[in-house]
Formats: sequence, C-alpha cells, structure tokens
Amino acid sequence: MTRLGLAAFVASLAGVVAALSVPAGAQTWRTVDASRQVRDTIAISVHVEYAAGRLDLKPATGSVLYHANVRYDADRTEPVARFDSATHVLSLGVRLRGRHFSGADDQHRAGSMHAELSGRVPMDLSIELGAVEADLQLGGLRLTDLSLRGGAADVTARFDQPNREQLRTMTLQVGAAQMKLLDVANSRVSRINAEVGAGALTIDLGGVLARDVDITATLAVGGLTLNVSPDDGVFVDERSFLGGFEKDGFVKKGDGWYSANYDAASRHVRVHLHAFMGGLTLTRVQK
Amino acid sequence: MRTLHARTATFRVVAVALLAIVAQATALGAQQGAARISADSLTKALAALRESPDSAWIPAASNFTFGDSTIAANRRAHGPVAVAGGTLHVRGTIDGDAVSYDGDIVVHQGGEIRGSAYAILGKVVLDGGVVDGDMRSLTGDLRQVNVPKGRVVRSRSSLTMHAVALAGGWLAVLVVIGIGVLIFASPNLDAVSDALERGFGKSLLAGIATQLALVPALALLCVGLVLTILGALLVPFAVVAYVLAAAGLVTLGYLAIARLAGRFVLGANEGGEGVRRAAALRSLVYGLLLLMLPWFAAGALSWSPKLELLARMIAVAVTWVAATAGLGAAVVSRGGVRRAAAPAAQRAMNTSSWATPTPVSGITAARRPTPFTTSAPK
Repeated sequence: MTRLGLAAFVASLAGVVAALSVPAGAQTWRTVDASRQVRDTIAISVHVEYAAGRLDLKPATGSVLYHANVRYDADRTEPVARFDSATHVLSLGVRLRGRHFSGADDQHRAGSMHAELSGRVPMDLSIELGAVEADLQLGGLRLTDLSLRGGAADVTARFDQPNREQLRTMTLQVGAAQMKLLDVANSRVSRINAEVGAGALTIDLGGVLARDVDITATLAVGGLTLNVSPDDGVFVDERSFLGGFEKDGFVKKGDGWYSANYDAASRHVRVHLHAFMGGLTLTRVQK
Repeated sequence: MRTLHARTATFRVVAVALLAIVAQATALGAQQGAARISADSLTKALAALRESPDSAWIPAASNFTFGDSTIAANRRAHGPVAVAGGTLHVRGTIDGDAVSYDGDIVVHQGGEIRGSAYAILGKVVLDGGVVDGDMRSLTGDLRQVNVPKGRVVRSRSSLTMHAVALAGGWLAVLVVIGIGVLIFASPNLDAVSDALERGFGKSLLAGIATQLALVPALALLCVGLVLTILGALLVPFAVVAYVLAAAGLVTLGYLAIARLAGRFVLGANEGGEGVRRAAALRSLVYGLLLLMLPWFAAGALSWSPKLELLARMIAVAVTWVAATAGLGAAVVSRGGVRRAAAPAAQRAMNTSSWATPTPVSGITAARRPTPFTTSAPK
C-alpha cells in the first residue's frame, strides 16, 4: 500500500465515521391530537414520557379523560397516546426513535406537547422527562401518587389549586435537571422522597399544609432548596459527608436539629437528609 | 345623481361577478378535493403511515370508500368503517373503529363508535355522540419518514449495509487511534508487541487474570482512598482515571496484536527509520483489517440469521482473545515501559569502547606457573 493509498484509505474511513455520526437533517413535522371521553371514575395510572421539547400539562376542562396535542418530528420521534382500558393505564408522550443522539440540540429541534388530564378520575401520575422544558399545573387533579423524574430538564410543577385526593408519596428524581415544585402543601402530601444527582431541586411548601410532612432527601452533589412557612416546625436529621445545611435558628436535641418553634407548631416538616457533597438550603418565607 | 346610480350599478355588477368567481372556485376546489384522492395515492399514503410502530389501526386501502358517507340512525355497522376524501357522519352505531383520510369524522347525537376514531388529515368532531375508545387526528407532513427506526423491521439490504458500515466505523476509529499511538507511543507499542512475541500464552493468561482483578482492584482502591479521609475526595477522579487506564491498556494491547498480525502477513521490513515507520503503519492497518474481518463477514451475512450468528460468535471470540492477550502483554510489559528501557540497555551492551578485541590469530597459552623452591626434596 503506498502512502497515497494509505492516506486515501484512512480519509475514506474517516468519512464513513463522519457520515455515520452526523444526524439526519431532514424533519417531518406532524401533529397528533388525541383524546378520550371519561366513561367512569375508576382510578388509573398515567405514565408521561417526554424525551425532548416543550411540555405543558394541566387539568382538563371538559369531560375528557385526557387530551394531548403533540407536535413532533416523525423522523426522530414517535408520539405515544394510548389508554389500556383493561389495565387502566394511560401512556402519553414522545419517544426518540432508535438510537438517535439525545443532546442539548434536541430541545431546540424537538416539538411540543400540550396535555390535559381529567380532574374527575383518581390517578397515580409518573412523569419522566429528558431534555425538556416543562410547565406542569398539577393542582386540581386527583393525584394519589406522583413520581417526577428529570434528566436534563427544566421543570416547574405547580399546585395552584388543592389536590383533590390525599397524595401518599411524591417521588422526585433529579439528574442534572432544574426542578421547582411550587405550593406543594396544596398537594396534601405526607411523604416526599427526593434524590438529587448534580441538579437543583426546589420544594416550596407554600399553600395550606394539612398534615405533617416527612421528606427524605438524598443529595449527591446537587442542592435542595426547601421553603417552609415560618409557622411550621422543622426537624432535620442530618447524615452528611461534605454537604449539610445552615443550622442558624436550630437547636440540637438528641437525634437531630429542631427549629425553635418546633414544639409549639401545629404542623411539622421532618427532613431526613443524606448528603454527600450536596447541600440543603432552608428558607422560611410566608406566602 | 346619474353618476351615483351608474357607480352603484357598476359595484353590483362587480360584486355579482366576484361572487360568481368565488362560487365557481369553491365548487372547483371541492371537486378537486374529492378527485385528488385516488386508490393508488391512498395506498401510498397509508403505506407511509404504517412505518410508525403504532399503526395497527390503519385498515387496508381496499377497506376505504371514497367521498362522504353516513351511518344512519338506528343502523349498526361493523368496523372498521373507513372513508377517504370525505366526511364520515355517524348517527347510528359502529362496532369497531372509524377511520377517515382527508376528511372528518362527525359523531352526531345518538351516534356511537364502540372502538376508536382516527382522522388522518382531518378532525374528530363530537356533536353529541359518543366514542368509547380514543379519538385521534393526525395532520402535518405525512410523507414517508426517512430515518432508521429502532423498532421498525429493516429490509435485509439495509441491515447488511448498517452492519458493514458499523464495522467500517470501528475500523476507522481504531486506525485513527493506531496512528496516534504510532506517533506518540511507538516504543510502548513495540514493547507490548515484543511481550506478545515472547509469550502469547503467558500474555493471554495475564490478560484473563487482569480482567478478573479489574473490579476488585477498583473496589480496593476506592476503599483505600475512603479510609484516608482526605483521599475520599479523590474517589471520583480515581475511578475515572482507573477506567481510562484500563481502556488505554486494552487499546494498546489490541493495537499491538494487530501490528503483530499485520507483520505476520506482510513480513518483517528492514531499513532505516522512515522505512521502519512506514512498515509499522502498514502492518497496523493490515492487522486491524484482519482482526475486523470477522465483523465485516458477520455484517455481510446479515441476510442469514444463522450464518450471521455463527460469524458474530467467531468475531466475538477473535476480538476477546486479541483484547485479552493484548491486555496481558500490556500489563506484563507495564504498559510498554519495561521494554522501552531495554533498547537503551541493548545499545549500551553493543558499544565496544570498553571491550578488548580478541586477536584473530589467538593468544599463546602461557605455561602454568609452578612453585619454585631452593631446597631439594627430602
């Protein structure tokens, strides 16, 4: 093989690699509008999976179980809107096709989904988000369990109106995402499990706190900001390596740190903190 | 006054003419709308939509009727009921799905669809009726999508092309890395190659042992760092460095095996530094081609699942043996460092400055000295 031949061979191979690694530029935009009428009020499970783009979710106004309007690029993604009447499982969302690269660029090239869920039917809701900018209005629904997972998402979830069921558990998993939950007291939650990798999670316990709340937070290198009303008593059981929380206004008693008003407060927030390098920031703002 | 009448009359004439033109255009448009859907175009359009994994609901083109259609009140029709280029009015009951292409589905008061309602390039309109299942409308660019899809069955030729292209991509990456190693770490590559030549079996055993020890060693490293408190901070960096080092050793070993294989095929080259380097590159490229050959074969045999499986098993075995022996050789030669020092020592041994040349004619043996005494033996 001569030098020239060898160079041509290597160049052609590099070309093959480049051709394989460059994503297809073509886009085929479609819109699917899916809905289903409410037939009964049997509890359902709702799974929302959205890979990349913009997501809005809110309570439905009409007598529909769900309504989803999805704009998607059929070359790269496929929509999911399916209700299994046998198992009472509703699946909504957009998945990436095949093994396409999912990066920051996807968010700009991806489409959008506007979804509505019935406020008449009790449901456990799990939402899994990739590179997504999401605005979730969860108040007014009948949530019994909530699971929210964000990879590289920018998520704001609100409970502007009270949840119409007791929310047993709220599970929050934050990879490298920014996740804000506002007026969480309106969700009538009793237990929150939060896992934060390298992202930032904000839990605002604004609204009407109807009962005591237990929060278990595991922080790797990310941070958790917790906003609690000044009237509520706070207890923090801290097990941290390099992370932790600012202890001003707290008193060490036995197994943990208590806010000065803990004994007098009618509602309590108990935080079980496991932090490696992440930190808990506690704010006390009346809303 | 007359001018005003004249203007009014002119406006009326113009307005009537415009209305006539608009009405004509509307009628023409409607005719064209109905006429633009042919059986062929419908078949093609539905075929494009069937590329989607969630397409089981799409009926065959032969099930479609063209133009407006009505399910009359108190009438029951078995689904799927499909129309193209028109509106489907449902006043009775459909036992199954309703599908429209380029038209709406209107469910009137008293009407019921007991399956789902799908409107392609149209809408599902509830006018007092009931749909038991999902209501879905699809609009936008409905041309056939043009990228490979994960769950869609590919054609055999597409599978073959994909597999061969994948193997080609790996080969290209390895060639590029190999060139980098030849430029920046040639002595290390030589040393690993030498270790392989000296004892392939020993290298293979060392490679297996290294593979078995990789994870426990990493765990020990992490535990050791954590025990030193301050070292715990370094755990993430240590893990990354460890993985990179292991990957580097495997790659170095694999390239050494490839070069050895290439040299075996091409034969050894003697000459100056330039010739030696060119030969090393040639050997490397040929060796990599040789090692990747089973993968290309497996790709080319994608049309036959059994042959492909066999070829893939061979490819995996060849790659594993090459990578393991290479890793072992890299470990034995300490990443090529041990051998890297050897040539210098060899050169030092070859220098004749200190040596005394032996005369060609030889040296006359001296008589062995015997003890000398002046006194006579008794």
